[in-house]
Amino acid sequence: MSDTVKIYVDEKMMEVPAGISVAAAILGHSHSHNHSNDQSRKAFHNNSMDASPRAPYCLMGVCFECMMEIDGEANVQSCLVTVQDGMQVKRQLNTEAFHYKNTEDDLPENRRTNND
Amino acid sequence: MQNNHKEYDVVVVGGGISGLAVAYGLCKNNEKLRLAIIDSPTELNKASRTNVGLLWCQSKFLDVPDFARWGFLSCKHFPELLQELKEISKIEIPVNFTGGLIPTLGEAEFTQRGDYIQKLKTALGAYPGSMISRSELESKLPKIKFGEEVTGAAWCEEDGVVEPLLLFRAYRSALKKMGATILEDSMVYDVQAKDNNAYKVMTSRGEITCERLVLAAGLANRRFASFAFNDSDNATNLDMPHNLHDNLYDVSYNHGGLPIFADKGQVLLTERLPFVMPIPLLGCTQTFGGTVIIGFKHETRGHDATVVPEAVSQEGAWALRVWPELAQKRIIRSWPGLRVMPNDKVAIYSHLPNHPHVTVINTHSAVTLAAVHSRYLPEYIMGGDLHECAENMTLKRFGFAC
Repeated sequence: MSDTVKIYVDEKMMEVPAGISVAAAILGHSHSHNHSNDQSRKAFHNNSMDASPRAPYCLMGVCFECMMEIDGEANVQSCLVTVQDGMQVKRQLNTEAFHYKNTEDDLPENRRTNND
Repeated sequence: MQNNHKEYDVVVVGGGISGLAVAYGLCKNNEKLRLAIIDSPTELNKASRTNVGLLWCQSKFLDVPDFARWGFLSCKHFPELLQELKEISKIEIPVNFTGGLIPTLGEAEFTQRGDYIQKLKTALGAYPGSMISRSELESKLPKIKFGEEVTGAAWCEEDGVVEPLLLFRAYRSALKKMGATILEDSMVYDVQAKDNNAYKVMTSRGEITCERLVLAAGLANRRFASFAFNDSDNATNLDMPHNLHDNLYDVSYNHGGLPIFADKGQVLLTERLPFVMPIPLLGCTQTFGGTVIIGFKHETRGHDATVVPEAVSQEGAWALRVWPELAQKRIIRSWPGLRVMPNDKVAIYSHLPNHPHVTVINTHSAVTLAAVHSRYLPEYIMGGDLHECAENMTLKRFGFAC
């Protein structure tokens, strides 16, 4: 049995230790897919609401910050999946953000404070 | 901190959303007030940390129109409250004042909800909501594909949703800036009357005395209020266990005469979704973090606060009938919560028998009611009257002289 396996992250091959989690494997290679100082390039995914760049935090299946697409399945917690030879991993980078509004103009008229 | 004796004008027992709301109002009305809030460790069962954050006035309390009005009044004052809290705390509290929707499955449910709203309209004189058809629902929430059984929804423009934990944090931050003392991670072991205008609170940080006492400790109010009830049967078995963790769910305590009970809810939380729900749907509501909280159950199981898979799966199954796409989403977690439920489901704002300086606050819907709690309850706590909507919400209705 080989000590390493080959996985593909955004179609780029990485040789990583066998038996570790996908999140750990990619964190271990973060230098190789980060060619600029742009922090967002290190992201595993962008938050679905505010599009902020996210990366693994708890590494034990609680925080959901390590979500990526693995073998075609989206939103998988990559810290809970063991690397397999030939695995296709894709980061979920989507920069479309929702910004909640909380200004006076967004209130229904009967609830604006200057309406009292 | 043991034996560190302190004196305050007002002590609020309980740092949940109700206690913080009235403490904020008290400090706002009198900046010289010496006020302390005592909050127990987070591992204790806390309703304020388990809820969705809905501001919900609609389709409730047909039999108690004043309580329905009280909710609408709070929603009306909410923008002003959030503006004040933001100015003092510098915390932006996410909120949508966009109305609220209760989806209906099948024709019978649609008719039943419609009948209820019609009766509410009659009882209240005016009511800012109505039933809407499936196509109107779809136009309000175009990014959600509703299940085939969805016939429409009950709509109310006064409802909304707030980020409950940030509301909580903003209150705490504002209070600290206003000079209030928040005693964190502190156990209240008991309260005693020194006479009827001085009270002693025994805490893990020593004894605290105060002129006025507010009991906003949720279900634990039964224990703390028991000193004021004459019936000695109610005052037994009040010993505090030595180990905090034995007391997680308060099971060992007799009820101290306060007519409230634990109303259990349990919810499922999905993974984060893109923002698709600008108007909250009751029962499966998207949070400001993008996750969806699914749950609607009311169960009476005492202080049993375990998650029961069979129960949450019923909630999940209902949510899939409303919004089938959720079947493709992961469940991140599940958690239980115990609502504070007065026996007649109407809020209790009351001095205790023979103790006009002690005020008990016990209600569900404490997020929705936060704005009226901050605005109107301080006057009553300091010896004035209750707002006209709330004047029948004392313990008198249960036969107590107070």
